[in-house]
Amino acid sequence: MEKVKALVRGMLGSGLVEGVLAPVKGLAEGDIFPSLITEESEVDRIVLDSYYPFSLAKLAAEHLGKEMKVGLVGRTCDVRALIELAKREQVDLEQVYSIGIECEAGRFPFPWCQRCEYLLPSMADVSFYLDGTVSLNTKKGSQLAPLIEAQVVETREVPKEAKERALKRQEEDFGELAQLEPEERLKYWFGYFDRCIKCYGCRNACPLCFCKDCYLQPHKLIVKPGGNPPDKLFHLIRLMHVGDSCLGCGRCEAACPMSIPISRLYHMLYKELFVVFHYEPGLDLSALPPLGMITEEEMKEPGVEFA
Amino acid sequence: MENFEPKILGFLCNWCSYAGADLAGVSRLQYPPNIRIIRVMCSARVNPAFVLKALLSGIDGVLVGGCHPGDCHYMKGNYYARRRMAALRRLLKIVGLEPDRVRLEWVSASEGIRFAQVVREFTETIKGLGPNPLKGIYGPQKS
Repeated sequence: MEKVKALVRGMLGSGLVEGVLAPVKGLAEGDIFPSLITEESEVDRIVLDSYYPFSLAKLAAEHLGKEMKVGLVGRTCDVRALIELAKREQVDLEQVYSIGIECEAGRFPFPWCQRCEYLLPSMADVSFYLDGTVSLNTKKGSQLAPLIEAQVVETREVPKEAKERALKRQEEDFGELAQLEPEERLKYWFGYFDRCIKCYGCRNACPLCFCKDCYLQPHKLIVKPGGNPPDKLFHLIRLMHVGDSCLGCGRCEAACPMSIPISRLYHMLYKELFVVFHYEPGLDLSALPPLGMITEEEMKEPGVEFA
Repeated sequence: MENFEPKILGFLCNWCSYAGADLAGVSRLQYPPNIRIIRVMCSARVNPAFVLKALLSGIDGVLVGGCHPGDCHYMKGNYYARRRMAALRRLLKIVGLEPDRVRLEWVSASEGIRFAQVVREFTETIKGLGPNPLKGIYGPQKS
């Protein structure tokens, strides 16, 4: 992973970017937090081989201006989140050089990582693979070619075994809930919702929850102020809002202090909606979120069921 | 429950479905009185959160009425509504509610007879499903 650091150093040194967003190590052992690196001397603090529970893409959208030229070094879920945010006009992809790092299948024990089908960051401008090679996937990525020390290869796709492994895990996790009777399922989820302390942790962690004026805030008069556990509407509204393009990144569940398996719920709905809308979030900038667009073909459909 | 009378909420669009319901009334067509109607300007005005709130408050079924495709007063509103309701019904299925408690229907301003028929059918469906399992247990909190 020294080659990634060399690229970051090169990008900062040549003045191509003003800063690079990356996970860096903290003072304590195993501590990891996001940082905008602007000095070449700080590049060594970047940590690339551990899990990190925050979304760099969301931080870029929230805290960096759209005009700032930055680099982003992150895992596939972060790069996908970046593309989703670009669709929603929260970041300008022209200004962000995304550098993706491959994830080793089954490396992280978290259920959402085990369920992940997207281990290779083929949607990033530059992707670094575990064997030390690199691929330049976009025009923007090709601009970085002179700065790259590693061996350049063709863009790779996720190997079949890794994908099957993820799908199998999804089957296991979602299947048992799908087997339950509706009342049991209701009890299961509403029981978990009763644990909620309304900390807004899931909303704040979710890379797709970018609304400045959030629907869950009390002044919107939909979810009542106060209350612990909150109105069940709290969860259902958020589920409805992001369920159609959930990345399955698990940031919400990692943030939840009450260990509610939210990521499972969201990913389950996403999988259910995938059958209807065939929407894969975070891959193609031109594919719009399914609840915010309509196609010419469907306008010819007279029925009430979306087909 | 033998004599279960469901409470049904209807969100009807101002330009087609509401006018259709009006026509049913003016024509003195009989349909079940279980439905309570809220007029909205377009079926796309029906935020899925409204439907969820109604269900959490103990409403047994929600009917959303819009114009037929191509007839929307706002050109594309009903297409958005169709996508949203498709997503919402799957959400209900995931959390364990019957998706059939939410129904989308196209009713034009001239279809008074059809409106009465739709309400009759929907009331029967909800009667078949029984009372909303959330009623009395998980209602929204009192402030």
